Amino acid sequence: MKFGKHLETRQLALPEYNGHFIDYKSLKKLIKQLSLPAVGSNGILETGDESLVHQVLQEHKASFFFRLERELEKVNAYYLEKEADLRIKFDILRLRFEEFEKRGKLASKNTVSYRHLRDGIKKFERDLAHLEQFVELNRTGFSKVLKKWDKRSHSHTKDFYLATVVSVQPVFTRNEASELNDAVSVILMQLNEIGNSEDFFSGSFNARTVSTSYARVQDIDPVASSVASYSLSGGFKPQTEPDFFDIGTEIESWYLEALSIGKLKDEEPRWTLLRDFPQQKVQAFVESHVPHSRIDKNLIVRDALTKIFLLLVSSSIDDESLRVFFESAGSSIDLSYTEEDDVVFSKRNIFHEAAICEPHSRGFILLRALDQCKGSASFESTLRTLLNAQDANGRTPLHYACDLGKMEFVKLLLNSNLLDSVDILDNDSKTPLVLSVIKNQPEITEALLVLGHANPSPSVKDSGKPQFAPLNVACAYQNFAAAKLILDFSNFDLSAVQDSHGLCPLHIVAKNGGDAKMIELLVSHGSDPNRIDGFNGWTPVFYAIQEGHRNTVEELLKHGASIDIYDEDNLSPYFYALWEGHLSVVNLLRGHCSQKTDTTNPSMDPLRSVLEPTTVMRLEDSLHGIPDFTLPPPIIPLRKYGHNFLEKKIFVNLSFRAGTASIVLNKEDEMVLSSPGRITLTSNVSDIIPRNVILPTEDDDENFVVFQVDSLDGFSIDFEIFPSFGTRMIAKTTAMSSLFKGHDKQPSSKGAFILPLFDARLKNVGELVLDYTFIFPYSGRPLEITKYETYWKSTTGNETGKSGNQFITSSLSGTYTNFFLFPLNDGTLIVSPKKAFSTGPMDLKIFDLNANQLEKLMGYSLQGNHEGSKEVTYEQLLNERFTTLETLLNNTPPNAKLEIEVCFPTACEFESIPLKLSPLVNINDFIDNVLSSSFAHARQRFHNGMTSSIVFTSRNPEVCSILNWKQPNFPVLFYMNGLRKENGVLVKDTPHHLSHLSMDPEKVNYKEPCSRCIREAVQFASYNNLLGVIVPLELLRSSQQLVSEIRGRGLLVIGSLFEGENIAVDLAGEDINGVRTHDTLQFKGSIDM
Amino acid sequence: MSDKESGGASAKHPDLTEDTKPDTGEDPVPEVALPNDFSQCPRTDLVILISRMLSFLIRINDSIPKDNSSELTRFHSRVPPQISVYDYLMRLTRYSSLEPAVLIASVYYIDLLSAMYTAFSLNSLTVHRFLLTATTVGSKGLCDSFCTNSHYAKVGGVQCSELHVLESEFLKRVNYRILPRDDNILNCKAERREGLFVTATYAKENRGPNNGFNVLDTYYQKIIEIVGSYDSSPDKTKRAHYVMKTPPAPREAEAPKKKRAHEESESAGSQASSSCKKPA
Repeated sequence: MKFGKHLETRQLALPEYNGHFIDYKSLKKLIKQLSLPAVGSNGILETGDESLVHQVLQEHKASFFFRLERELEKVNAYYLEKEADLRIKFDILRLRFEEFEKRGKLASKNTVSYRHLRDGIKKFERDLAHLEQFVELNRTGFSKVLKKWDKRSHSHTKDFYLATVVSVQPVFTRNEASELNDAVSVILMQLNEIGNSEDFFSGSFNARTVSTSYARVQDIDPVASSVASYSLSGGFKPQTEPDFFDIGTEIESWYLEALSIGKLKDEEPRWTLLRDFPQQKVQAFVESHVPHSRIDKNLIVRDALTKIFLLLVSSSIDDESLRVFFESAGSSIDLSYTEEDDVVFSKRNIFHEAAICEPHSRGFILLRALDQCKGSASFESTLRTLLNAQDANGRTPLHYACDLGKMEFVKLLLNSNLLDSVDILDNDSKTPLVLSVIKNQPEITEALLVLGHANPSPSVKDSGKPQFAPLNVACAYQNFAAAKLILDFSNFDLSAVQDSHGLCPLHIVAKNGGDAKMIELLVSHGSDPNRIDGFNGWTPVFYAIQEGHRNTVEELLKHGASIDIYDEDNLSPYFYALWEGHLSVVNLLRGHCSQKTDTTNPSMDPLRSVLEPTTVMRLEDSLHGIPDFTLPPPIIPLRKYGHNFLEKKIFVNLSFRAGTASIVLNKEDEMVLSSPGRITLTSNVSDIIPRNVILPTEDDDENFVVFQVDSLDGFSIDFEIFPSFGTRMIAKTTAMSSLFKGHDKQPSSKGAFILPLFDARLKNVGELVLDYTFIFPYSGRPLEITKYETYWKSTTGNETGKSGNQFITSSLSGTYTNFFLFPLNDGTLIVSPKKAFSTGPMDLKIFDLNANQLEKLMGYSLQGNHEGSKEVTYEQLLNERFTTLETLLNNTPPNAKLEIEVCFPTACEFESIPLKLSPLVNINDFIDNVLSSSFAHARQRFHNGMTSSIVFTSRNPEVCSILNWKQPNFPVLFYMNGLRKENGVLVKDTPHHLSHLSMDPEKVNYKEPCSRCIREAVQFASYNNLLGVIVPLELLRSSQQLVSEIRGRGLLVIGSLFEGENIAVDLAGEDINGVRTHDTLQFKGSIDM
Repeated sequence: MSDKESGGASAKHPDLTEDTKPDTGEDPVPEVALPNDFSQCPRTDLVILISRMLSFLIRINDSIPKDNSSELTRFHSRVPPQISVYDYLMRLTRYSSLEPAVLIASVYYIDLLSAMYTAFSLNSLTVHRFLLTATTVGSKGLCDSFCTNSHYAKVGGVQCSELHVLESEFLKRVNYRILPRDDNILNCKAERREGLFVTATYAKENRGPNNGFNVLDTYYQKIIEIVGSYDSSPDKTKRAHYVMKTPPAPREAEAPKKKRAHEESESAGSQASSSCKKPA
């Protein structure tokens, strides 16, 4: 839907492909234009006459497809160019690798060549990923635009055209990218192997190799060491030429040597050694080793010193030592040096390296270079080129200096007057200014603006490329100082600034929870607090509310933001606050909200929808041409009896954490470069098909995998992790059946595994964290659905619609008596009279007692329904006495309707109150027992010719899902109850309102999912096929949209009263299915029959 | 006005058959001659005939007061649909390409279903869902090629899930005896009574006079006889008298006037569907 915006954002991240993407926007515009004449010629807007538009569009088919083909050609041509480019780069990389390998430069992971090569490969992988994204985005673009065309012109060209014209283009058929990806992985693997064998040999022959011990480096002849390591590891022949020498290897060892000197503690020896280094080591070596017949020795010395210096500049050696080295080497160091053949590698010059050096300023190098300039004009022009040069990342030295916050360096650069522009875009489309804003360096930002005259409000037109607006960046990073500077230095129209998503600065601030200062700044500079963005059609306050930033919301309201507005889906800000369950925001808004009820009441009047036949049915592709038509709904609604349940199978749910948080790859092992793109789950059970999970998982995606297996014995799952493209596995692991065993006796059905991840060489590379849920089938004799009628639910109205005119009715009607059921220490099912978890003056937790103790405490039998000789009435049993479930069920009056609230503390409650669970109790057996008693009750009633209706509710989502999966006979409702009303304000509490029992009220964990956030509760209920949700009535009343949104997911909506609240609810007047009071659950009578 | 005579007169002006002017009673109503074989009959004419037939039944059945709501069926709409029977049947025929046999069979199914399912009667609430179900079942049972349920549901204006339910309801009610045979009702009843599946067909002598396989022909003839006349039909969609090209077999060629009078008087009090029961 928002593909245009998405494309724009991606283009920002892929600047090298800019302008070569499919021009989605203009193609869309073209379709619009082509369809226009139909309207124009008639003079009147004939919106009804769609067929005319179709006809006109059909006539203009040729011109649309002409444009589309030009787009295709454009994309194709650029792809081929890029592909060839990458191919060449890869060949260079491979040659370089082979060369290095042959010459023994890859002896260990510490060598410079190794690092170079790895950086090169990393860069190459990034390029490759960009190419892949380019291909994917274009593929989507073409299919989207064709779909649009088909929709507008009522034709069926999409599939045919995609298959015959689009998909056959090289850009979409070549597997080059994944081939290259695999090839790179091979090199990486070999590189990795070098490292490993090095580790191995350094273990056994620890004195022989170039190791990290710097003291040793000085003593060991590096040539010999690398030869030694090679003869051992690679199977190469030992170098037989004694005269052979490689200046590159020497430079490397010199570099390491100088580096280790730089580590010396005392300044005197350090400086002396470094001062003498160029003469004593380098020149001496060259003098003695280089044959006299060879080229100019000075040249070699010069070259060697420059290279060493270049390496040292970016190392951790301190400024003073480096200056000593630099001065002693004197004129031998060529500051303008760059590696000429550096195509695949970094392309950095000395100034890049100097700017990159994070711990030290390295300003003296620039100063020295500037000094040199004064003498010669030719050097000045060289320096100008060098300072403006963009490296492989498209960055100039200024970028790096700004990024790392090197004030001195930035000032030097800006004052040098050698920079062509300070607004150069790097490969991430960022200017130095943007980088300084991101890194929160207000001084540098100021310097850039004052000294460099950086453009604070670049527009796309200026550079021809999309880029980040510094102000938006400042807003996103909450950088008040930068935002203020930018606003002070420019006088542009704030309303014109939008990011690629169409968000304005104030939206961005609101989304990120900006503080009062920031909002005030923007508003005082002319931001409209009620401006509607181009993405969701939201004003800033929507974003602040959705993210739950209470203070931001308050601040926005202070500045005049309106909350009486509706977005594209006709939802109000208040709705989002309720939906997301941000109580603090809800409380705030309740104060502000004008108490008027929604006027946009979606009509639930059946008669109206019948009289005006709605055209709600969506046209499916194969059914084009049939005019829309709907019969009035049937008088007997369609019913769905019961729900899916586990008959014999075991339900296994494995869920992955958000993003890629499930996969933890070892950081130090940097060989795993490609990021995980998907996980394949394969089970050893043959009838379970392998599943794929695409990473990173997103919030609203289904990030879980469900298996239903006959038995956990011998059930195992293989996990294989692949990159997004290519087939080379990154890592794999297996969950063995032993891991799954014994879970039916676990206290909770949930938990987490941590599995080790191995690469192809069985080396551990990280771990996989998974959350699991097991649900076991009911172990007893199920209630036969053929004999005992199950509940039913029916949905009428628009099936496909997200919300709107939907009716949900069910077999539940009338009033259900509610009681609390929970297990005792010994597993006895007990019904608590006061619906309380604790009893007596000491607040004894009933969980901690067993049946005997409770009987003694109470002074009566839990089973008996006789108090001495006097019979205890059902009402007394229910309201005054602790009693077992069985006793209560046996004493229920004929045709009783029961709501059994099954209480089992949630994991958070166990942990933070804290509560203890007896080892005799586990959730699986507990629920089996509850069901056994209920089934026995239902059977007995049936034999006696009576009916009994049972509804289960629970505040614990785990209980709800287990209850529902174990049986299809009784409906299950989820009771969202993580909030409480206190002095008119909503406050959070644990689902069972146990916070008053906690040892330390500060430490209570309220983070239980589903307990407050309606969105999560509804999602949970619909994933688990529950019949409905119980949500505080007050929330439902305050937003009509909430009811229709929940109902749109096919759930019954039941309002609940807060504790102590006692309002008479007239169900007929409410647009909900029922209401839950303290003692009863009342359902609205169904409309039919 | 005697429709027989006026019909005969207008047969000379076949051009006028497309005339949709309101019936002023002045122009003679054109007469259309239909082929003897129903499979040759133009479907438009067949749809007109059937919708006349159904309107006729609906008018009678709607006039019977309903005492309670216990006789609701799945075929009942909550309110009468706005679309006329003719338009609805036309829509089904056009978009689902119904064969003439299916159209006539759907009339036969009224009798079959009414006999087996007493709660069901064809009225303005049930006719649409019945037609949709009957044509769906008919197409699937009688034709070599047919559409998917989602297509039928789309054309009929119900959700696919509802059509599934309607279809299975219909089939269970008639014991899956959807091939038009004249002993179906007897067989069904026997099956209901004995709880067994009747495989042995009745002896030839127990069958109807037309050996049980020409049910649709019989229905075709009856429909033309009953509602062929423009004036007697409540559905005035098309001004035309329909007659058979060649007069039917002598036994059937009773005077239409007498027949019609007889049928009307017979069906007034009872299930309207009996109006097209063949003479035993």
